[in-house]
Amino acid sequence: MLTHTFRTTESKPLNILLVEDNPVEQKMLETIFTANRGGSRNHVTSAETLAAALDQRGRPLAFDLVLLDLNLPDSEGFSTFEKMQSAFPDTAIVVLTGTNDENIAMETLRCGAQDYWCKGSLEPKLLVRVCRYAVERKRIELELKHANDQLKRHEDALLETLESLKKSNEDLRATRLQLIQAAKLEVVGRLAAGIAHEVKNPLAMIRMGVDYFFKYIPADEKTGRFMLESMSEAVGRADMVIKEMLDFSSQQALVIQPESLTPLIERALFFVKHEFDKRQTQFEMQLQEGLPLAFVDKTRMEQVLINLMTNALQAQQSGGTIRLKTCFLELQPGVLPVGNRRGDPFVPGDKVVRLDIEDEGPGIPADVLGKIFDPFFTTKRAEGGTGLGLSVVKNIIEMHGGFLCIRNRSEGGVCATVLLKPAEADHDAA
Amino acid sequence: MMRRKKILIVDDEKQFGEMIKINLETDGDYEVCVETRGRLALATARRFNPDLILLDIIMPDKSGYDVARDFSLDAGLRAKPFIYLTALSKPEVFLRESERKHIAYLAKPVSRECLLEAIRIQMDVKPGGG
Repeated sequence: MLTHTFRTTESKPLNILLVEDNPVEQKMLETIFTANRGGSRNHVTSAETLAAALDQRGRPLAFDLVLLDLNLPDSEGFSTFEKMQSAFPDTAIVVLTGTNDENIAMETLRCGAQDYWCKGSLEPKLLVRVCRYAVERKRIELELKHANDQLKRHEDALLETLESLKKSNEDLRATRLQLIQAAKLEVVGRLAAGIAHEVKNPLAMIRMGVDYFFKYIPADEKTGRFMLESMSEAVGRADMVIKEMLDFSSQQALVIQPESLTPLIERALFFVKHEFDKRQTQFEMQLQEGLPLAFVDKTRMEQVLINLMTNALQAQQSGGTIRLKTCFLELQPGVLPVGNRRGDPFVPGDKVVRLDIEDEGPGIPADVLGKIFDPFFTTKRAEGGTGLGLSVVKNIIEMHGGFLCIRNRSEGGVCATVLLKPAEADHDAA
Repeated sequence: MMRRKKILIVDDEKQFGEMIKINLETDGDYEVCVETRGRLALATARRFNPDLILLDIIMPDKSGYDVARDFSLDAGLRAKPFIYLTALSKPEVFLRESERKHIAYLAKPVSRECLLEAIRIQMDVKPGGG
């Protein structure tokens, strides 16, 4: 911004470097400029060669103007101008030409000379005015350049500020979401604990009653047994819903230790084995040998595995095969959607313990895929789904500093992938 | 003939207590007494002299923890095995006192089978150790 007023050089004497090898013209020009007009007496330094002119560079008092003849004993034409311009970048240059080299003079104008003057048309008053204007233009040009530089610096600073503001804003929004989430969790937690107590007591009574009748109902009383079995299962389901709500809202700290995943997988499998049998679904494991230990909370990770396996089973309806694979690898860019966002726990190049659970179900519809981690979102409400299973899994994985993604496989079905930090950093990756 | 083992149930939910009583008496060959008021539990226990106590934790007039403390200060009841039978999923007392083997914990809703098994195991636990 050009806020200050221009100093005018109109009345100030000029400090001029005259570069002219012709002694007659040199003398004449000196006379024109040093003539005393109304008190302003210019100072002229003369040089006959380019070398002599360039020698004037280090002088303490800077020149206001260079009057430059392009054809000198040691330099010819345009290159004379170029050399002088780079030696005196802040000084106005007015080129002196003969009548025959006006083209070169025009070229110097394009490249930053303030003006040119045909030596054939020497008119002292006019020349002095041309030079005054040249000096003034140069000064303004420099001030503009200076202001422009300053503007550019301000713009850079502003952009930088904007960038950091954007980042702060993003952080704030994330923090706010976390706070809301934490507040929700706290409410759900209190609710869940209250509901748990109030509901578990009646459930306990129903269980006692059902179990009592089971004992005394004859084995061939099919309808009665069916009724009791259904009631017993319903109690179990209601109990499970409460347990999931308590798990979801549980804010207990993790106990993270280096653990081998294989026994955890086996224990989780023990809990869902019954469901596999019931649905006649095969279970296939491809566990990498020598898999390094991972940093996990044993109980929570078991819960993750049970939830993911149960999801896979339910997606499958019945029959088919569910595959669980583990491996240790170095993350390659683009293979998994990890490392794209701020806050992603891993970036390509990191070594991770990877666990995949694949089903052969119908996959997840596109309009549902974005909501699967939302607490209370479920497509199985009628079957008693709470919509908390995957939220719990995601929470647990995130508390581990791990990564979870669930995506449709191109071959059909869904793949749930969990990435965990290996406990042995120097383990060789596949 | 051996005396039937006696079980005291302390639970504010009267019907639940009665249902357990029926299940235990018809099947487990136990003599069962139900007390629905926590603050009367100590007196009832002294009179009934049970071999085992089933104890609810959350009760309106006196908590199961407080009842258990009263028992532990009573010379005649101190060593009796007991089982917390509660709707709490992780009662802190269980974590705190789980090393004391005459105290066990069952989460409601518990199946009859599981309850009978727990009672059988706890009856055999020798007071004060293992």
